Amino acid sequence: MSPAPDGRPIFLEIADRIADDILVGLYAEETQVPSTTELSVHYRINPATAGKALNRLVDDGIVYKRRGLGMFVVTGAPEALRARRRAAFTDEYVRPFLAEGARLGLTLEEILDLIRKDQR
Amino acid sequence: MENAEILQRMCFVREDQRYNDAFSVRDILAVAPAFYPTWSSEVADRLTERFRLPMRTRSKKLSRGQRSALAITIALASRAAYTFLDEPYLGLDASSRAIFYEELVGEYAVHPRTVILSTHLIDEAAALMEEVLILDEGRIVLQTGVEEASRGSFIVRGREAEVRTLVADRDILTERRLGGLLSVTVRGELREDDHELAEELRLSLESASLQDFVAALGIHSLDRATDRPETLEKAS
Repeated sequence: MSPAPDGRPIFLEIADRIADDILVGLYAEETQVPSTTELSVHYRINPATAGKALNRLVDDGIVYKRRGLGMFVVTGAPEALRARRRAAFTDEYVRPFLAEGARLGLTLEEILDLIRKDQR
Repeated sequence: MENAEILQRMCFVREDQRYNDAFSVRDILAVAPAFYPTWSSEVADRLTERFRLPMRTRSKKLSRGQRSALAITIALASRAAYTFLDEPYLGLDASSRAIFYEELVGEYAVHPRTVILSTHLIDEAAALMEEVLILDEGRIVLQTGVEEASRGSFIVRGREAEVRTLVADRDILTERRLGGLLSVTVRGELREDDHELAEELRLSLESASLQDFVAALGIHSLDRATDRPETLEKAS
């Protein structure tokens, strides 16, 4: 795995992937997430980078460490992730989307029409 | 003779590493543990199987890729405290290199040790590293953590005047033109207000990969060499 084109560090990319998997329930609450070694072998990255990804999730309250066993998903983590992602939705998706619409000369009504059409 | 105790703790694999031509792969792997007290036959067995090394073939008859695979097998199975891998993958195809990377980080995670790997396949290998050292004609031009190194340069593209406005007095490594547009690789990190300014000046900004950075440094130093013919004359 190599760094994202926007220069985002690999450990953040991997923390996000694990968070995505927790959000959709691939790792259920109180089940184990992959270890540092498993992550480093799978993504072919330095174990220190894999460790940083897991620590990031610990700091965010998404996973916790069970001594001698590994990392487990915190109860309520999917809800917490959903709330955080909703809060970031405007900044990360809506604003760039409207900015691109403005560059293309689309009115708000035209944009809303496009969304409705796509929904059908 | 060198200090035998220290040699036991070191394993060195160079580009196109050769072993005794008359020995088979099996013979070489049978002798190797004598040199390394920390030898793991489990690792050796797993790697010979994953690399599909022909055990009965004499080392003379091995292909380049097989010789590289054998050297990598010995390096990882040695579990030497200091392992030096100097461009160890001559002739190895993409899937064998992937096996090498997986085994390297997996071994390193379970049995931490110092591994020094020199490589030209920078983007492939960058994520394996913690620290990066870039050499230019034997001089260290950069020594830093791999993530900081990836932030060592960025690329600005747009109309020349606007590009120059954004770059200002920063250090330009390379300049390339495409039609009326100029694309420059700049040394250093992006500043907070660069994105806003780029938007205003209609420039595209992207972070350069470590490989882009190294390539730009190399071109920069080659161009400098040709800019100064008098130094070349003196050298010849």
